[in-house]
Amino acid sequence: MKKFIKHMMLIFFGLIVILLFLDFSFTTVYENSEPRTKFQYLRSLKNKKVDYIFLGSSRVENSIVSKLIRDKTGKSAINLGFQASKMSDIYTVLKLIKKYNIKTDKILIQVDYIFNIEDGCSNILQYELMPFIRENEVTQEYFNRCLINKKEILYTPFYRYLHYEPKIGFREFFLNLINKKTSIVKNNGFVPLQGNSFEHNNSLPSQIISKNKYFDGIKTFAEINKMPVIFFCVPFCKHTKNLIFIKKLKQKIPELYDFSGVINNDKMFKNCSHLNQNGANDFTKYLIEKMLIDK
Amino acid sequence: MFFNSLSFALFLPAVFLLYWFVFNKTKSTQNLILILASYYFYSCWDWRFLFLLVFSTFLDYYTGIRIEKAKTETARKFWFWLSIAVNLGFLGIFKYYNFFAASFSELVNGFGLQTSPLLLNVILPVGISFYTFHGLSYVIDIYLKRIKAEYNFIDYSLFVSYFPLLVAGPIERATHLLPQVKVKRSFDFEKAKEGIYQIIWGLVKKVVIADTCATYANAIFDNYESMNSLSLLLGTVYFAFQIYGDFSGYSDMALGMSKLFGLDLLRNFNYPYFSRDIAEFWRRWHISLSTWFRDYLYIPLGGSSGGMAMKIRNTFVIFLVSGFWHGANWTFIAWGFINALYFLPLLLLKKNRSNMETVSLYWNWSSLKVILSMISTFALTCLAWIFFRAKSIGEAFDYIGRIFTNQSFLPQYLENERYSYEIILLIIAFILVEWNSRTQTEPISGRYSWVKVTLCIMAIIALGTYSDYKEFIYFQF
Repeated sequence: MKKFIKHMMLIFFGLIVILLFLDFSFTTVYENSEPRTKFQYLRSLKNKKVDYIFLGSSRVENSIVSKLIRDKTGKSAINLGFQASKMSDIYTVLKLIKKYNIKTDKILIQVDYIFNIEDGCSNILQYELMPFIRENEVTQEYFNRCLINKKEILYTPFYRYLHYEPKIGFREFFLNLINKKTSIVKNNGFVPLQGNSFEHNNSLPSQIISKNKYFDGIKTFAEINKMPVIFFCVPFCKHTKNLIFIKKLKQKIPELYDFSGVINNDKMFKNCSHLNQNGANDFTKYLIEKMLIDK
Repeated sequence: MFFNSLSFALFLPAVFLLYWFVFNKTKSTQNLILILASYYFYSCWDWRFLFLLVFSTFLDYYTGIRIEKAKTETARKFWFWLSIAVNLGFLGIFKYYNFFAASFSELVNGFGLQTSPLLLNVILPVGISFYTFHGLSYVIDIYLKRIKAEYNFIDYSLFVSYFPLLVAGPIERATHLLPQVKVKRSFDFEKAKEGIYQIIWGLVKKVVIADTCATYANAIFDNYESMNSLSLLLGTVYFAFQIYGDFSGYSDMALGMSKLFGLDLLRNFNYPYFSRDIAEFWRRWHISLSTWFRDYLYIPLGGSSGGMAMKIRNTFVIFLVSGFWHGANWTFIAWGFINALYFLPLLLLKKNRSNMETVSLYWNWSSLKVILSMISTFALTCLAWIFFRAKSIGEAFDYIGRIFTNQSFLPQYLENERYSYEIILLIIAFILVEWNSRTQTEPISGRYSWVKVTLCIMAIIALGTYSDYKEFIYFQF
């Protein structure tokens, strides 16, 4: 039995060494590869200048054609919309922009029904930040707030790569290792949607909450750090119920640019909350005209 | 509590330590701790079904004794048929009742009468097909006077409820397992080490091969209407390795952990995808079930002793029943029927026992023939697996039809954001490892075992599929 226990202890020790080795290897590759995700792209812009930065949820990700902005204005733009982002996620990305010392002329932040959401975090942003969990105090603070199993993730080597295996497991590690490019960098963060297949059942909240602590945090953080933030609202389709919510939001945030009703053609929408590629092109042109060309 | 779960990773060492350090005084204490652990293990799924397991155990224990003690043939028959009827009755109610009710209703509706079946809202107790078959073999063996009845309830309970084999086999025989639980086990380092290696290899098969293949196979089968010929073909291959990795991986883990307790279980898989014909495949796939049907159905029906017509009838009976054992769906019956059709030419040509030895390859033409026969057997197996995996027979035919009519062999991007061809290299690597170890129970033992253990652990950690948690396929049977 002693021999067996010794044998098992050796296997267990080997397991720990393998876990540490794999954790180190995966993290190193993610840190040093060409950007494949939006966060890696943001990280690669350390100490650089981007003229316009767009923050928000998938509604921004699918609506702002960054390359079109560059073509029309000659200025650089990056779309940092993350799927399922709330104000808290946007606040984190804003802090990361500051942390990485990325210079910019304008930071355009989407505010709409997400103003009403204070709980929860974008799982997409979580996946993308996961290999960089110890990167800086901003990412650490983000995971302190968002992760339920933070201790396991933080202190068990390789557990994060097992737990989020479909997104940051071996397949993604390998693609990072061989520097396989994604369209994220090519499109400067814009993710186009194709087609038009929506039902007319989209609804905005009927009530608006008195305040969102993360929105307030964004405003204060931007003021302190002299970051040029602008709040705007991406189009909804005309069938959206309770569109009055945006009017209420505008009363609360007078500086909000309300573009919720600027696209009327249903064919421009993938669904009631998301523009398709044609819609994104039209809206980006409109946005350039209204906000990005100095007249 | 699955073998590949964290809770089981805590449960197994705890039972191991209790077994060898606290309850190791006598055979009875060893059996007692294993029984308690087994009942706890089973109750982790649904404690209510524990009563069913205990009742089933008690029924066969009691009827076994009554059969042995019966003074008249009528009494023997009575207790025997009582056990058979109650065992099959439970299986019928929990597993097959809804199928028969729905099928009957469909048949009646086909004649223009409008009926709606009276369906039962019951959950299938996990492992019921396995422990029912344990009990049945025990009672049949006593009835046929092959074995003596077991009078020690704890020993008998352990034979039925032993947790490594409780929910997905292998289907043990009283003649094999009961004598082992009747004696005190002593710790054997080599056996335990072998067990650990077998558990590790089983985990590789489950989390690296089966679960990874499942990710791709599911994306293809669930969207087969939009898949091209290449993806559909790959889908069948992936499912073949999914089900093999899943079930044989489970069996390896069961056999391995049983060795930790000093008990040997029946081997359930013997590299079936290296079979040269379907008869050989069935000697190597789910061996404990195939031999169960051979001994308790095929031979009592007359086996091979009668004329050719009887042999054919018996062959079809065991394949159809074997298919139906897997689940209450026509797809499983079709799968059994197809395998019977595959078997038929071998039976007619009396070649069903022509490939008995382990396959070997040399640099000559006859080896090429062997390779072709292995590939064709695998292809036939894959074709049958389509029926096993499909939701209906119509869907299976549609799937097969699209393989031939689509005729596009370009790489296809799947719904799960992966290309259909991506894991071919992984499967080839797995085949090569299995080929090199086809004369052993697992590939880790032997020379350089430390290197092989390290590689396997690395594969389990780095290549395994974890987040999209998949239970073992055979648990549903």
